[in-house]
Amino acid sequence: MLLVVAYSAGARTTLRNVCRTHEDAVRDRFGRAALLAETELGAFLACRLRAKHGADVQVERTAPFNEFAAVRPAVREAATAYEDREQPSTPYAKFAAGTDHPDPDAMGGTDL
Amino acid sequence: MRVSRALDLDPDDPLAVVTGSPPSLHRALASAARTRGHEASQDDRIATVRRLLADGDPSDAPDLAAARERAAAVAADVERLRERVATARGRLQAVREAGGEATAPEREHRKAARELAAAETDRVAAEQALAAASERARARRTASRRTLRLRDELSNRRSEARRELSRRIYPEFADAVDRLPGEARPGTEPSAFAGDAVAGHLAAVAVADREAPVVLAGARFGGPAEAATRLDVPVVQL
Repeated sequence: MLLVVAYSAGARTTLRNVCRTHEDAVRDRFGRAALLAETELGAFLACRLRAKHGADVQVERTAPFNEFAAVRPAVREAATAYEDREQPSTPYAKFAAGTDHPDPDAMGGTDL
Repeated sequence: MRVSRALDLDPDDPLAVVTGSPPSLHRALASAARTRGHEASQDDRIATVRRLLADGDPSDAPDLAAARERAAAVAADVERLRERVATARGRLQAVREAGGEATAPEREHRKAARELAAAETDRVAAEQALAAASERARARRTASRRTLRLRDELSNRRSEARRELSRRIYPEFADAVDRLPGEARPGTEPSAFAGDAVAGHLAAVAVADREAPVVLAGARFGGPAEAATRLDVPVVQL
């Protein structure tokens, strides 16, 4: 899907109007952002927004996130284990310290 | 406003000109209070925010569309050259298998491979340039949000300061309203002021400590001399 984010009041208004007019091309709306269908119509709408608002519009092309394909097991397992933690107030860094779970700074420095 | 411009006075000075359309009472009173040396509790923060706004980053907007177009163009070149290399390799193999003279096909293959390598380098550079430009654009958006927030904060703080200063000088102002011409009931605080707004404006001028003349566009007093005495400020009567 195409993710469109508006960074100015004008861009936000245009996005809202575009979504109202072309409901079929809109997968979801969030106020100053919208997910458009990955069709020529979706691309056309994204291009219109760029043409009108330039840098006040950000467009990204999303892909479904399959954690089993994209992420190594240790990271997935750390997430599951953390959600199962005994103390809800424990931050992840503390939870992972002294265990085999990956450290958050290391994960932050590793691209997928 | 017109009078201010016509006489080349500071249009932001609410005490410079008294006409039939007075400025907001808060503004006039706050200005008067400052001439008397009063300060507002928001003043330090106001100075800080002004400084932060002045320090803002004026970097140029990156041309993202151009960077995207270039990245797409070099990627297309790489694809085209890959096919050329594959075709040249195929021809070279066929010539060799047929036992023919391979010098020209070899040269062609080498040339295509060199061009492909150069294009791949260009593509990496173009993608890095696009990533850098995107990051600068993101930083500009963040800075712009910060600027808007600071502007809002400055406006709000100045407004609060005006309210605080006008409340501080109000008792003196109320006395001035009572002794000057005009029908007004000042009440105990600025928002309670009722009646003739021009009388309020004149009273604000009267409580200010001001050496620069005030222009009066109206005839409330017996003449400029009487006005100057009762307002305790030099007067220019229009």
